[in-house]
Order: sequence, then C-alpha cells, then structure tokens
Amino acid sequence: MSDDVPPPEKEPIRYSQGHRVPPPFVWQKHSEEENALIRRRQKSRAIVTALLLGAIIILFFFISVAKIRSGTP
Amino acid sequence: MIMTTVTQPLAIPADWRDFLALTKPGVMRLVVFTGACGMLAAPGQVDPVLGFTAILCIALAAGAAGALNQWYESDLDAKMKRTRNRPLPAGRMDRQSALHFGVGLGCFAVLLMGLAVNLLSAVILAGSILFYVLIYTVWLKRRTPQNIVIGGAAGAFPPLIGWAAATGHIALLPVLLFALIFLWTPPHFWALALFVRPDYAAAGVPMLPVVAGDRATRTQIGLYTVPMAAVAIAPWPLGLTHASYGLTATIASAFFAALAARVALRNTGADDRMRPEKRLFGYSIAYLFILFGALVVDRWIG
Repeated sequence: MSDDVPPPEKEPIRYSQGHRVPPPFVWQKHSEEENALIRRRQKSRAIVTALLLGAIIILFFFISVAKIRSGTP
Repeated sequence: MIMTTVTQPLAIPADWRDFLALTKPGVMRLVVFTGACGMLAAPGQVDPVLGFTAILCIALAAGAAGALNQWYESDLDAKMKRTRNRPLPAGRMDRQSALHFGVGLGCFAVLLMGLAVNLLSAVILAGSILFYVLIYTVWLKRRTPQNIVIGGAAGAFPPLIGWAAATGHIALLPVLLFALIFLWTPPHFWALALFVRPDYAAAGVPMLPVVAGDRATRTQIGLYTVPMAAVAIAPWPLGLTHASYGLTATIASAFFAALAARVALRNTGADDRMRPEKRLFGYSIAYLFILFGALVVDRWIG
C-alpha cells in the first residue's frame, strides 16, 4: 500500500434531522387500558408468586420432618 | 432549535400463564409419569414427602429445559404453524424473562434434589437439563437429521432419576428403561415429522423427512421399532419383572410394530391425510404410559 493514498475519511453517524448525537430518549407512556392490563398482570403474578412461596415453605417444613425422622443429613 | 425525541414503549409484563406455557406442560406430563414410575418400580420404600419432592424436581427441571429450549428457539418457533403461538414468538414475553425463568427454575430444581433427596439424582438431573439444552437444542437440532436420535437421550433420563432418587444407585432395569425411551424417540418424532414436514422445512430444521425424504424416514421408523420392542420386552426374560409386565409389553409392542409397519410400508400421494402416521404418533405416547404403568403394577402386584 503506497503512502500517498489518504486514509478513508470516517463519516460521522447522522441521525434523523441532521443530529450528530442521538436524540433524547424518553419512555413512551401507556394508555389507560394498557395501564389497567399491567396492574392486572402484576396483581395476578404477585398472587401466584405468593402462593408458590407459601407452598415451598410448607414443602421445606415437611422435608425437614422427613429428614429428621429418617436420620439422614 | 427543534428537539426530537425517540420514544420506546415500556414492555408489558407477561402473564403468569405464559410462564406456565414456557414449561411445555404437555411434554412434562410424560416426563413426570416416567420419572414417577422409575421411582415406584425401584426396590424398597421411599418416604412419601421425599418421593413427592423428587417428582417435583423432575417436573421443574423439565419445565426449565423447556423454557430454555423456547428461549433459544424463538426464531424457529415463529416460522412454524405448530409453535408460532408460544409466548416468545407471539410477543407476549421478552426473551430475557424466559432466560431468567429457565435458569432460575433449573438451578432451584437441581439444588432442591441435591439437598432433599440425594446427590446422584441431582447430578443426573443437572445432566439431563444440560443435555437437552446444550447438546440437543443448541448443538444438534439445527445441524443434523440425527438430532432427535442423539437428543432422545434427554427425554430418557427421568426413569433413571426416579430410580436414583429412590435407591441412591443405578441398576440394570432403569438402564433398560432409559434405552427404551431412547429407542422410542426416533419413531415417535419421525411419525410427527412426517405430517408436519412443511413446518420443519419452512423453519429450516433438518429433520429426517426434510433432508432424506419420506421413504428413508419410513424405513427408519420401521428399523428403530425392532430394537425398541426388544428392549421393552427384555426385562421379562432377564428376570427383572414378572409375566404381567412381560405380556403387557409384548402385546403393546406388537401393536406398535403393526402401526409402524403400516407407516414404513406405505407410500403417500399429494393430498394424503397422513392418518397412519398420526395414529402411530398418538399411540406412541399411549405406549409409554402403558409400559411404565404395567411396570409399576408388576412391581407392586406381581
């Protein structure tokens, strides 16, 4: 490669409307219906998680009893 | 100066039912059943609580493997009619949630098995998850038509895990049960692949009917049925079970062989409804239920 060949010029990234930096980023707000859906899903997930955690605690209790009864570590 | 902004919608959280769907409950039924039968066929008594825990761990591990499989294959699932309504391709869940759910569930299942039951069953359980996700899903499925032949081992672990959970060691009978599911998987999946071939072809999955064609697949179904039936009946002449299992296995395997022979020997036209293939696929599921159910009955009643 000869020395007189200039290095390729780096083209700056151009965003829409001529911006050289990315435009400000904001979260889009949800509609009322979407908010209601999100609340419903969060509530049902919280209930299911609570039930599962409760079931795990009961299971751990009975596992401990079974282990103590059988004398295994 | 005019300021523009980029708006990004906040993700709507997935419904808990979508997390349940991620675990493939349909597949889990057979896994849990074969695991439970492996445990119940083992000698000795199992504490009911620890037995329940072992089955729960097998179910959770199967769910974790299913979730990780769907996380990795969401692009393939989107291309297939049979799977495009799953939570990830349908856009009801983001991929990261599926990954976290699968990894968390798998770790929990293995830890619980190791702490509550025994180390051997936990090691085999971890191996089965890793085999299904890494060997089958990541490595084999998109690369070779032998994907389900080798990958079939992943689904064959549950009776081995159930037995190990009950006894703390491995014997010849659970190894035969492992071999039975291993050899059952190719005819079962290839029967399915014959009637959903366009789906697999569209997704670019190199299933045997897509790569080698119908004729070769039908021949392979017939060929795999022979060792599968032999392994199914083998516990009886080897003295590991009584006649009640032996006779049930012989009759059920003969019926399987008849359906497989019908599929292996026929040629299809353009508008074929694939009834024999669908019948073989449906019966192949019932076949495992019959055999494992008979094994438990044989163990407890004789």
